[in-house]
Amino acid sequence: MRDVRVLVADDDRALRTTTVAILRIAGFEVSEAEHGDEVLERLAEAPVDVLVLDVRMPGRDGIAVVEEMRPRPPPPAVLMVSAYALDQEVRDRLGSRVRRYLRKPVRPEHLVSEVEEAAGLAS
Amino acid sequence: MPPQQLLAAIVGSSDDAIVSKSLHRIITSWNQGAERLYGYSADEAVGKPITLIIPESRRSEEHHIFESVLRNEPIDHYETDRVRKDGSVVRVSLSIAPIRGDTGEVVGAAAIARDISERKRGERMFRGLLEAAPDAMVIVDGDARITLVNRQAEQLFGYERDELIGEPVELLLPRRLRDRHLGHRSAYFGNPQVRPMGFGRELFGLRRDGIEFPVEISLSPLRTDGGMLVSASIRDITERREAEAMFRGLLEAAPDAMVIVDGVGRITLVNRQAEQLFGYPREQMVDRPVEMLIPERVHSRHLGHRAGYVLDPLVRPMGVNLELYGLRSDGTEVPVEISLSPLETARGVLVSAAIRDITDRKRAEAELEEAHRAVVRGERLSAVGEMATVIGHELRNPLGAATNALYLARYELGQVDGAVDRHLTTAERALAKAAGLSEDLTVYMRERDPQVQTLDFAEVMREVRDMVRTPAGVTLEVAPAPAAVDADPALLVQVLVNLVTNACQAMPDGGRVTVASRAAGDATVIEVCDEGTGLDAAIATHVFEPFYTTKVQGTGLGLAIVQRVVEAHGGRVTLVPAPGGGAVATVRLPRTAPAP
Repeated sequence: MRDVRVLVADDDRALRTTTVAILRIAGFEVSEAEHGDEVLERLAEAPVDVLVLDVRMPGRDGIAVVEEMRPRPPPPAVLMVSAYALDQEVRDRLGSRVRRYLRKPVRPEHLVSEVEEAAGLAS
Repeated sequence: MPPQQLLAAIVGSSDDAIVSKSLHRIITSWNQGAERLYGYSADEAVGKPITLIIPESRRSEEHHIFESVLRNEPIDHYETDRVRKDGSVVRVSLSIAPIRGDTGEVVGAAAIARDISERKRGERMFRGLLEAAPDAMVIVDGDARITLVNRQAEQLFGYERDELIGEPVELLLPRRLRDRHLGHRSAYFGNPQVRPMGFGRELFGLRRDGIEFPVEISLSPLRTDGGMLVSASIRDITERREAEAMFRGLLEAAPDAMVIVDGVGRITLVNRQAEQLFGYPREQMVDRPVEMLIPERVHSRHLGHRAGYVLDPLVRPMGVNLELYGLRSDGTEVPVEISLSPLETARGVLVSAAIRDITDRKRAEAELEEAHRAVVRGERLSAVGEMATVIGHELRNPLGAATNALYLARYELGQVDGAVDRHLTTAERALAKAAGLSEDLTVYMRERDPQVQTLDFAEVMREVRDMVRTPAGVTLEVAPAPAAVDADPALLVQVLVNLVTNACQAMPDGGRVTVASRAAGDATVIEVCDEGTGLDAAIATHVFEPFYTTKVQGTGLGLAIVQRVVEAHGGRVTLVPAPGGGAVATVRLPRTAPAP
């Protein structure tokens, strides 16, 4: 079984690095990005299975990232993480391109199980 | 009977003293009236000089009178003094006529005397009374000529007594009223009785200097020997009129509506402001019961209060702590504030009510309160509200980082012993609580219109049950037969989670939380009951205020969120002590979705 590739995108360094550490301990292959443009670059360089994506970031925000992701190669499963509740209107627009919306702060155990689920590993 | 004898009989039976005397002033006859008046018998008197009955001081006067009589000048009703046998002096009215002989020459004189001491005393007393009267007194005869006035009348009208006596009483009236007065006075003489003059008309007197003044006059008839006289008691009411005018001026100048009521609750006086406030012209208010200005539902209560006030009249506001309303002519009610004060008058105690329309103030108060609530609820995001929102959000990243870091620390430490584990656990709980606060702040500050749809309450409660972690010893029961409810699903779940959580926290020793729903007319009522410690009335009024909490746990926003969400649905929520202990939260949500 190949490693599950996870990209963690968040402009808050403390949150990003601890999240990365937790997912690595859980056994995922984790890379990171600190703004939207960097996310799009990473996705262009190498395929990603699960994208843990903060909504509010400088430059392109999480919503713009989802809207600009190329359909090929197959885009990652997106776990959208936000401090704010997102309007129903935004959710409707993003539709199935976002697998799950998670509210900060996300409990580590919960994040791990959500990533596992998104990667098709869990039950 | 021969004429001589007839005359003797008449003289003998007269009540008056009839005495004749010769040219030498010797008494020649003495009738029974003279015996009674002077005390001498005829035998004692006849043959004696007339000086027998004339006091020393009157002798020269008598001499002059007699001379006049001899010159054929009779004396009529001349008042003088005479002395009795016992030495006392008697006041008499004297008429003297000459007696002629057969040839026509004067041979003597006859004097008829009447005792007028009684009359004189009566007259003196009457004069004394007249002068002692506080009012000006003018007494007129049957021809309405002035026969008597007192000092007060002289002063009031500015005439000397002599200038008034014998003049027609109309002299004292303004010219424009004289003709009318002639008619009135002849009518009075036709039906004389004690009564006020004028029958409500304004009466005026005229001073000698031409100045008119308002008067009040009381008439009474005096029956006398000389025919009927009429006594008029006249009071100058200039000052009273001025006081009345001043009072009316004050009344009209008052900023408030003024209604003055007598002891039996009849309106006696109102001002223009009262006409405007109540919408009646004053003629429609005066003499009517004051209850016409009061809503009917409080009539009986008002009657009681009114009776109580008359017994203990003080200047005070009416209806302390009561909301008072006035009833307008169009049937609408107006909120008022009333201040009462007693007025001592000749007609008894009147009660003056100053009534202020507080519609504007009420509205301003309501607006202020609403503005205050709006601010408190964050409906207008104040600087504080915005800051709370920002904090609610911006805390989330550091909270997440700290939570993650603790997770990693546990991972690195592996199995840890008691003390380290306890410290880590404390930090984890503190972070969870901070996260909860941040969540509550976010929800509370969020502006969002409810997306109302008809919900299956049982389904809603399944979701609530999943989300609430009931503490050990607490059970959550959902009553059977749930009612349909119209609400935003996510928001209703939030409301119920908060209410159930609140109920659980009220039962530290365990117990049962019951959630029931029922249809109530055009609304759905949801009740969340606990068996906890209940709540004080003082607390009950504050529980929905943001950041109000009596618990160690909790952010103080849970119930504030409940209220905001329920009110955003057009509903109401209350939290009151339950009859059997504990508390019951009642949410009433209107049915707004169209029936399927």
